[in-house]
Amino acid sequence: MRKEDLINAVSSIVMEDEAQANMIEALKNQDTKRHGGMKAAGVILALIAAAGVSVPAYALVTSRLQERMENMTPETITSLEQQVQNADVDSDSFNRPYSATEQQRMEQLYTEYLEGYFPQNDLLLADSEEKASEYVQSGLLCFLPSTSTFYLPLYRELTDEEILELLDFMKKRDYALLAGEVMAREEEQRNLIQENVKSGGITEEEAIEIAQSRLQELGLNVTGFEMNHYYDDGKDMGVRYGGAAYYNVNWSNIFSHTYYYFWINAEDGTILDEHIGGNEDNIVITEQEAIEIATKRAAELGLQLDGFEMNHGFEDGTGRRDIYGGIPRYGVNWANFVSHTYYYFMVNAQDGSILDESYEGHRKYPEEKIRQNVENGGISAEEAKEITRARLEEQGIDTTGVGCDIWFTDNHSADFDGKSYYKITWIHDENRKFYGFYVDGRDGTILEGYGN
Amino acid sequence: MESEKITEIVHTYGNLLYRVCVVMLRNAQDAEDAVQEVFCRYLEKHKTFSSPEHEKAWLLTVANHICKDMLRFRSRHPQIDIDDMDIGYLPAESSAVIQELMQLPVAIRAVIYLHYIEGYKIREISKILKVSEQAVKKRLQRGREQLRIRLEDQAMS
Repeated sequence: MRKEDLINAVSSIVMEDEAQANMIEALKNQDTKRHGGMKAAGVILALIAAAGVSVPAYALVTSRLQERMENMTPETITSLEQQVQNADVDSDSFNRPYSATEQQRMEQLYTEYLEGYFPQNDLLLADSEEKASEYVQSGLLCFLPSTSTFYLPLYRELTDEEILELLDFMKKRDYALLAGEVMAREEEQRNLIQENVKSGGITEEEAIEIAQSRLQELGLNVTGFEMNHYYDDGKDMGVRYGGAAYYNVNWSNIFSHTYYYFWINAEDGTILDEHIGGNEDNIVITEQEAIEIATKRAAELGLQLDGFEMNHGFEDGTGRRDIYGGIPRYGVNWANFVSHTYYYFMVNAQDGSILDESYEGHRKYPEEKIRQNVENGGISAEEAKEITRARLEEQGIDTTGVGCDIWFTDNHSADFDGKSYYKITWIHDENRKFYGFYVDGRDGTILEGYGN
Repeated sequence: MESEKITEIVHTYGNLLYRVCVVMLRNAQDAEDAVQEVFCRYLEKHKTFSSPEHEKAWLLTVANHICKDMLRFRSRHPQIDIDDMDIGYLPAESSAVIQELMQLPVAIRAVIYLHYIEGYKIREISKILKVSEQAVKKRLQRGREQLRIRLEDQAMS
């Protein structure tokens, strides 16, 4: 292929004039009935995006939240629809910007909201600008539908309850705008599921339980994730799984871009397929290339590999408490069981760099991270070790002569609220026990224990 | 935002965004939705740009995010077979080339598009796609191998 062919071919892809004209019109009118209802779903997302968080166009709904939305009365839905249609303006306004603290709390509370942490009250609505001003002067949060303006308290930060009221109002408004479409889909789904169950298939609840069991098997934590599910009778075009009807049950975290999907046979509950992760489209290095990279690195280091056994494998980084912060990688290692000598290299599957290497007492990843941690005011490995030693001695466990393995990660996963931590393992060869601790890298607090 | 400004922005960047979204999503309808979402965010953000290049790079970054998220949720819709891909009318001489391009993994398609069609350098692509420069280089290398692109200039600056 010539470069010119590629350029010419792609340049010939253009939007039709009519589509472009319609788009301009929709943008001018802030038409809420776009394709697939994405615009309505985008309103709450714009609120979150204004807080500096990148969110996807499709926001999913957990079961508890879904129930809350579905329990809205027809009158409430109509009222919310009319608010949007009757507003004199194209988009929401605010009487002041959010503070940095408010934005952070909003992100945290949104996660909790999705898990079912709802406000006690509804957002206060004003019926005129004078009333809105009066509320603001009284230090209250309110919304003026006619101008689509949120009036935030001027002389203090929003409380958690107020942030939740905002999130709840936005979600309900989005839902109301999609309600007609959603309700039609829901009814279709209910009918199809009923038929499935009548002919001996599993229920939606059973499918969710199956998916949840699988999550537990995989050791995946879905705190802060949105859950969604739907049924497919397998008759659509582009059918998957040989035409079998299935339930899709999925969890997604819009902040970490992590997604877990399960496709469950609607007849017998077997798991047809699963998708765990969020990194696959970034993997460009093959396993063979990773082996070559590691072999080259071993040669650079002057390591003799004669008599060593080589093994290799892939880790996608989505496991719980992933010590490399979720980076997909290949592990390539050489072991000599006679001399008890071991070398390992972790090759970043996204770019082929050496993520970690361990040889002759040297361990690249934790050493670099520990150095950075100390430079940033955190505790050293030795300090973390002494903290755990003291804990064991309090429990009457003698650590004299006991081996200790120390690992450190700056941890970008959801565990321990994203804190950096030491993983310290005391290995007692005599009684064949081990005692492990996760220690906060910043202040030395023991986060969790594991092992015997 | 003024009505004329909206028209101007769509005319200036509409096809650019449409092309990159088609390349990533392989579907004209989804690409239109994605483009509209990009412009909605543009209008909502009221962002100030230091130059037209800055504005263009920002729009491409947002388009990339939206497309990636749409692809995540693609499982709600039937998979699009490469032979049934609908990206609208194409001249006959372009179809074969586009078919080859669309068979690449999406991460590589995006890099190939930004480098060869839009002329971005490695560093610039790295900022738009929010990946390392090394990752961009690897994807370009992959894409060239798979498309067997003959280049007049092999420099990767």
